[in-house]
Amino acid sequence: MSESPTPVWDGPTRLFHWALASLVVVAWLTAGKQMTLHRGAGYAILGLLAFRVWWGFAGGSTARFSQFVRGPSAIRAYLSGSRRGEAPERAGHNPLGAVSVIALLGSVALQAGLGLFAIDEDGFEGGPLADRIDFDLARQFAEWHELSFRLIQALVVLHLLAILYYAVRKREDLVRPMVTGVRRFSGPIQGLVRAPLWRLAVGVGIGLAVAFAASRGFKLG
Amino acid sequence: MTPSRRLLSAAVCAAALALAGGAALAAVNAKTVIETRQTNFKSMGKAMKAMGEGLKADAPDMAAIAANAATIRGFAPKITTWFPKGTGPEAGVKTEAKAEIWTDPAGFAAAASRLEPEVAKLETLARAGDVAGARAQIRLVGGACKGCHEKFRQD
Repeated sequence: MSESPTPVWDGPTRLFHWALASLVVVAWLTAGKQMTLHRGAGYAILGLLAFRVWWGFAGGSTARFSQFVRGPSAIRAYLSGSRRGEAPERAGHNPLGAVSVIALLGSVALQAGLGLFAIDEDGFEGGPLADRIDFDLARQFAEWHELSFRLIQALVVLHLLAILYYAVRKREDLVRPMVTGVRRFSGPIQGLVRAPLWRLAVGVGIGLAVAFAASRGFKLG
Repeated sequence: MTPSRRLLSAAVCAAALALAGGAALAAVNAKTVIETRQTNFKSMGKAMKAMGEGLKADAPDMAAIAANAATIRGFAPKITTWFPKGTGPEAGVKTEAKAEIWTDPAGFAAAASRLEPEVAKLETLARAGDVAGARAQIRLVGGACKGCHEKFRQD
C-alpha cells in the first residue's frame, strides 16, 4: 500500500453521491408531513438523476456506465476471483458493485417518478402530475410510492452492509475515497480520467432544467 | 333425559345459533358499514382533488368549486355516525380506522367537527367568486382533513 494516492472519483460524482444520499433522507423525513419540502427534495432528486445519466455518458471515466456496467459472466468471474483472493484492484466500481449502483439509481428514479402522480388520502397534497389522472389512480400511485420506498430502504441497507463487509473482511475503506476522491493501491493502477469542464456545465444545465420542469409539472409556459 | 333437561338443551342450542347468527350478521354489517364510509371518504377526496386543481387555474370555475365544497359539506356532519362500535380494526375487514376513534370518542368528534365550518366557508367564498379567499381557505379545509387523519387514521 505504498503507492501514491490515485484519483478514483471525480468531484461531480462525489457531490452527486452525497447530495442524493442527503436528499433521500430529507424526502424520507418530510414524507406525509412537510409536503412542500418533500416535493422540493423530489424535484432536486430528479434533477440529480438527470445529471447522473448525462455524467454516465460524458463524465469522468469511473462514472461512465460503459466502464462499469457488466454482464452476468463478468460478475461471476469477479466473484470467483474475489473468493480466491485474486480480484484485481481497480479504480471504479467492480462488476458486482455496478449492479448495486444501477439498482439504487433505478429505484430512486422509480420512487421519484411515482411521486409525481401520487396524491394523499385527503386529495389535497400531491405530485405535480396528479392532476392528469383521477383520484383513485393517484391514490394507487401513492401506494406504489410507499412500496417502492421499501425497495430503496432494502437496497440502502445492502449498500451499507457491503461497505461494512469491505471494511471488515477486506480491509478496504470505500467511504473515504467517496469523500476525498483518491485511494491508495498496492501497485500502479490506471486512475480516473477526468472529463472537461464544459461537460460538467452541460450536465448542471440539464439537471437544473429537469428539476425546474418537474416542479412545474412539465408544463410549458 | 328428562323433558325439562331436553327443553334446556334445546334452548341452549337455540341461543348458540342465535348468537352465531348474530355474530355473522354483525360481521356482514361491519363490512357494509366500512365499505360505505370508504366510498364516502373517497367522494370527499375526489371533490378535494377537483377543487385543488380548479383553484390552480388562472381563472377558476368558481361554480364548480362551490359544488364540490357543497358535496363535502353534505358529508361532513355525518362522519362520526360512520363509525359504529365493531367497525374498527377488530372487524376483520381492511380498514384504516384506528382504535382511538372508540377509545377517545370526544377527541374524535372534536377533530371531525372541524371540517364542516371550514368547508362551509370555502363554499361561501366560492359562491362569492373570491378566488384568493378560496385559495387560502382550501388550505384550512385540507388542514381539517389532516388534523383528524393524523390521530384517527392509520398511515
